[in-house]
Amino acid sequence: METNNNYKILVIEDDKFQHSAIVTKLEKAGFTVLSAYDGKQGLDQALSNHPDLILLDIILPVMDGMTVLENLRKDPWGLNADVIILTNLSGVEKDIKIEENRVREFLIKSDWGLEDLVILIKQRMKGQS
Amino acid sequence: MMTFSFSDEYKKLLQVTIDNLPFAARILKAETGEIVMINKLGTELLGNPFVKTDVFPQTIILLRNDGTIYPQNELPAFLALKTNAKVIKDDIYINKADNSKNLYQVTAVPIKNSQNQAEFIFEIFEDIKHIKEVDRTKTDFISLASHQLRTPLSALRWFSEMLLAGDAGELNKEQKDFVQNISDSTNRMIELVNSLLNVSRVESGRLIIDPKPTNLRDLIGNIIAEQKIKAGEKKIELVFSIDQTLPEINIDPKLIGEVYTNLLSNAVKYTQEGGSVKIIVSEDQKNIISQISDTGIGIPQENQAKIFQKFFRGDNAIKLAPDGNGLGLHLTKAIVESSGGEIWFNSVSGKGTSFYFSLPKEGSQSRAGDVTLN
Repeated sequence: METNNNYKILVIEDDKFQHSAIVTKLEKAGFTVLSAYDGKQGLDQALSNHPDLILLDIILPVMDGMTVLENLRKDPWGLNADVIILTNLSGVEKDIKIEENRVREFLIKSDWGLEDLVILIKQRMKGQS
Repeated sequence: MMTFSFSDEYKKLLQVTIDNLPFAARILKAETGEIVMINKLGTELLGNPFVKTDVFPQTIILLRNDGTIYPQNELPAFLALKTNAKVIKDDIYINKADNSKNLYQVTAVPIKNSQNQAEFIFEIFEDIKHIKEVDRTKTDFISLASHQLRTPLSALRWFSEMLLAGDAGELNKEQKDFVQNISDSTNRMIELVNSLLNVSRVESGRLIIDPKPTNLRDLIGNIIAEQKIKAGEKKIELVFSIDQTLPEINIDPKLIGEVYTNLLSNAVKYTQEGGSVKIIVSEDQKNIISQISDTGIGIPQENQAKIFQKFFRGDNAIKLAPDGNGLGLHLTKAIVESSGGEIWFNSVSGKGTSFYFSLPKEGSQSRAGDVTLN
């Protein structure tokens, strides 16, 4: 197993199959993974655990991804938290206000392999260090 | 000056006619703007100008979306008078008596006398809130349906990818083949969903067109680089010719990139081993013309008239590549046309095909829209 375990990733995803696939792949790549199955849980986890990266879905129960993002940006830590939107809802980039909300990447899940996602995250880590 | 004159019978005939129109309508005197006739729906919406009352406002105020007053010199009646031609605007709001705000399409038509001078303005107000809502619902439905389809597809893609990568232990040859089949079928389904979504967006007329000064040489160069592996596998020679002095053109690079990608990937897909594919960009007085030619299987004469139809595929194309979905050329044509250009082709079955499309040198018109391509 690789050693990326200093890097904490929060996965906010309600679909149990997709959730399981992402978490399994990230853990195999050696990351420390935190899980949330709804938006509210995700926001709470983010604000209490300060992950290095948040993978955020848009359509989520309890609190949708947009509201999570808006609330996150109101928090002094969350203001600069690193967020990748990982959704299957495309064509909504304008509504999400990617630049205004400083979303680093907007990825369509079905267009991305998990291996490519891991590569992208590793590039991000290098960029930060 | 010749003027209209009406007998009482004609006035009555006209009043009954406009009273039965399905939208608010009124006739104004061109010279003074005075209302000379209004129908029942008009009175409900705009107030009756002939009855002094506190209930209806004598003059209604037309608003913009942001609630500010629509400037008088931009109103359809004013412009119709100024240009002596019909003017339509679909962004006018009116506060109704119950304080709700509704969106209207307002049309103003000058009614001219024999000297071609406008004597009256016929003005109609159509409530288009419902039409806009139906449009949006249709697109929202497609977005949501695609989202629902993509959810299980992503899980299928990811789990088969992990199995193939050996994340759950090494697979034997047969297991690997089976999982590869699942993975290939899943990816084909994902492509179909993406294409359907794109087609529905282009057809909705809500696609954002965001033209930027673009260097076609770089744009096409990147797309060729993406196709090089596939072309290399089939030993297909790729030739690119573009005038070095061609100036930048104001187009939406994402949309036009999709056009080059579709035409080039088709050319590579439908050309047999050892063939060649050429991209030639030239210009005439008004347009930049792109030509994508291949030495492939061609489009049979009897299929040519239908080649841009949604879901249509040539008989020989189905045999050579059964996995296409017949949406690529339909989408390509829709993008070219919404960018101000035209697309055409010539093809000889068994010899090859040349697609051509033009883009106006002055660039594409931008459109605010609210959706992007996938």
